[in-house]
Amino acid sequence: MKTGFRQSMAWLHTWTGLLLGWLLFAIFLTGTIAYFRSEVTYWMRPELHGQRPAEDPAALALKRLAELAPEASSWSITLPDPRSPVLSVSWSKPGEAAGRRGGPVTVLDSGSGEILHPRETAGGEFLYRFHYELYGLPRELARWIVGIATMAMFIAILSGVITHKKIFKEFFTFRPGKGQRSWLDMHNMTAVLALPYHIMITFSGLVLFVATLMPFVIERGPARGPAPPQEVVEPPPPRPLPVLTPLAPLMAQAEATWDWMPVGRIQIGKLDTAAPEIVLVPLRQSVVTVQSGSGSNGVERLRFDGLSGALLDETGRPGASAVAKINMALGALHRARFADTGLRWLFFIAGLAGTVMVGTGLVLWVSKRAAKHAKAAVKPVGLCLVDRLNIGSIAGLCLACAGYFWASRLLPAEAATASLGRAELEIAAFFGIWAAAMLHGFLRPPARAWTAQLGLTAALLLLMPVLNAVTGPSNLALALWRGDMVLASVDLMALISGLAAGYAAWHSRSKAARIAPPRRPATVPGE
Amino acid sequence: MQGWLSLILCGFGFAALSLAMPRHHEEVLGGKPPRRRRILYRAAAIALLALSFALALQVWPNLTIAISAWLGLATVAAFAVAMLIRQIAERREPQRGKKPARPARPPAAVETAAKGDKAA
Repeated sequence: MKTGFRQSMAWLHTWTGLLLGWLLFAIFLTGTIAYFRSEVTYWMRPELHGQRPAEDPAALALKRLAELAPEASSWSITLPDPRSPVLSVSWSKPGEAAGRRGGPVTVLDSGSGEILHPRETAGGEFLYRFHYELYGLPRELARWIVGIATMAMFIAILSGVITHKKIFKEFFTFRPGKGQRSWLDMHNMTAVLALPYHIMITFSGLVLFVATLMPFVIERGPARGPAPPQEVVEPPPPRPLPVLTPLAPLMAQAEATWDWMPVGRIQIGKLDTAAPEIVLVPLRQSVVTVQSGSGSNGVERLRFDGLSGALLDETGRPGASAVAKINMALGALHRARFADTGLRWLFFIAGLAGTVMVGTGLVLWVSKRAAKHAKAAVKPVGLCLVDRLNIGSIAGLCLACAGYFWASRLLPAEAATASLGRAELEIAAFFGIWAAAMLHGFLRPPARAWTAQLGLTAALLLLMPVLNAVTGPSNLALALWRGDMVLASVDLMALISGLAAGYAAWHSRSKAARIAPPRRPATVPGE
Repeated sequence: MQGWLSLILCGFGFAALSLAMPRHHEEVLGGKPPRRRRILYRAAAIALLALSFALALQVWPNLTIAISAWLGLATVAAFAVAMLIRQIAERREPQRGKKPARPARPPAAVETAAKGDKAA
């Protein structure tokens, strides 16, 4: 019996990987889809499709704001961008504290300026939140669970590199159609080819959880004194709207300042005073070492005089210590907050590699042990359990995600029950499908359950463009024609993933067919 | 445009790197590479990969972003090379017959037979 360093690492790799593998698969899959969460949300709201953006959406939004909210003290405009072709505005009334986002958001048609009423949807946001907070659990508890899984992932990566040390010698090796050997190749290949990504995403994920996992390391900054008493502002007498300086030159100036990063948001404040001001916010952060709090566009700002258009001040990249910068860079890297669409695809592909790595690792655990017990009449309970849990948590989750897309479009736009809003109904559909798939995995023979669930996933994904065409004003061909690449790319990605799921279903079916006749000699002991 | 070029160069770089590795050299060209050629392949790989990274820096001027983007490109390029090697190796396999290097186990024979069925 050898118990060398590599053996103990192999043991560690196997068991940390197995124990948290199912959760890690879910985190990886939903997190990977979440790279495109605004695209997904856009796809799920057909009321927004088929807009033809005007030449100058900023000017259009200003004109509409003057009509919709002439008495407001501040306006905020979020411009259409390559990831979300939606023009939205919000405003706050005098005397109200002007929040970061102002009042409720109103979505405008980016061509005509008409008010649109998109359906309520959990959208890509649900998948994004699920990947680090799960759902329906107390926030702290959920973050602990995911944090522990992240730690396990980190251990599994490090021990995995040691265990499968051949991966660097066989860097480019993939031999399909050879049972367990192929699963191992696929596990190794997806691991090693995206290894920098796996290490980065896991380590930065851990750092993002540091406040949860090690609350005592957080050094509170200088204690904030009690909030200054809110000044009671008398609503000033209504005054005519000031004539604002044209936005276009300011935006051009801002883009030049930010290395040609387009303006993402426009905030116009102090409209009820004699000195209104215009604040421009970039679409993405252009460097990684700035704070990238979730949902904000970074901290860079340009503030202009609203009447003369003169630059008042510039908040840029605040000087920070090296440690703070590394911390912020890791956060920004994890969230890909700086990534344009092309870079986002690269992150997405690497994320898929991670998903496949975890999935094949789980399958490998079973296929290795199944080989050992191939001749036994009764298989160990643990093996059967893992085998069946794999079905529901790998194929079943894929099915649930595909079903979630369908639910978002099939539930009526006004659907809601007494206790659940429309978004919660979509989420209920997601978990309902997942639970059903889990159950199905235990009820049917494993090989058949794999085929059925993967086949159904493939069908749902391949038909997604049809669903989009039937339940919305646009369709794949029209979107491509009009250059609505966000809509088109979700449809196309559904087709590609559908083909992949179909291939997997077909593969598992032929395997099932080979196993089914008991006396065929073709079943290789390795499988 | 430069991004695509960077990706293609990266692919060539990994192809050269694979030829410098005995295992993959055997799969693609047959036989082990002589020492001098291995060094040559490796040098070419380093040059191509460096060029590819330089192009990535053109597309993403920020160094940190360029590194993460280039590593992503490298993943895609290496995957393409792996698929290509498999294709070539599979074509070569029937000509070479059985590998002498590996002990021929009975299951291996069944495996190749099963694969032959599939290919037919």
